[in-house]
Amino acid sequence: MLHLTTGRLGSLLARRVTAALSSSSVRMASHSHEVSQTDMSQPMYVDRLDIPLPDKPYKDNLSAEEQSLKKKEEGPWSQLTKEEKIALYRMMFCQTFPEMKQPSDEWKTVVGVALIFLGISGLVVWWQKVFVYPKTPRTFDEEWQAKQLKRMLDMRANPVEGFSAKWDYEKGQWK
Amino acid sequence: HLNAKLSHCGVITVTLNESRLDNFPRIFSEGMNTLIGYDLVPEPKIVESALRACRRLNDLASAVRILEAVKQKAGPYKEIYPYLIQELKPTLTELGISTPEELGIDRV
Repeated sequence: MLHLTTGRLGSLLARRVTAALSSSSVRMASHSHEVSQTDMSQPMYVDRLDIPLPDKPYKDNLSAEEQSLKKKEEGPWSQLTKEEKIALYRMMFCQTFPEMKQPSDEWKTVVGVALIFLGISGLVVWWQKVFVYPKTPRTFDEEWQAKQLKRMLDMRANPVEGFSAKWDYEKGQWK
Repeated sequence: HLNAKLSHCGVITVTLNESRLDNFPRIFSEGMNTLIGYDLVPEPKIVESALRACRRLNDLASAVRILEAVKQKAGPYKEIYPYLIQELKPTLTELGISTPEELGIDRV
């Protein structure tokens, strides 16, 4: 990862985004985390609190046992056992509402990675200070700054409400 | 204003849930998802007609899902869902629909 330049990383990310958004069935040649490509032009199953009834059932290929349960569903539902009702639910849907609403620890990853990148930036800034920046101008030296301050006071800079107004000229100290 | 919306939903849901539309379960799910999209908790008689539509479509799972969804719609107002279930009890018994609580899927 460290040997990738910013340019190549950017183009890699761009390729991933394009592949994810496109509906073509061509797989990315380099690496693909999906086992099969999702055809987004077909009805999709989705677990969402605001879409309680998705476009298609969760399970498409039903075993013989499941198919016979579906047949039984055409009759009176009071004849179904509790387990059968749960099985029918799980055939139609993946997660229940409480399962959808489960909190995750993703935020910790997000905050952690963000702080890591901030830390790396901090390291870069420090390294720049040590190895890149030229010496600070002489006007930053302690001695120069002291002389500059005295000169401002001698000139009576902002004597009414600002700088020199805060200096006690009799006692020779700040008020 | 709210009553107008409720009666509008009621008219739409009951219309969509008429049996002549039962060849198209998709129409029902689209109508249901739209209803859930509104900023309100459906009245018991609206939920009842949705449950009866599920019965005609031989879809128990969706009936349970609808009960989950209206509980979700109530949000922080925890007294709405028990009221709904209380009003729907005759229908639930008649159609043999178990509530998510009875099935134990209201917990993780």
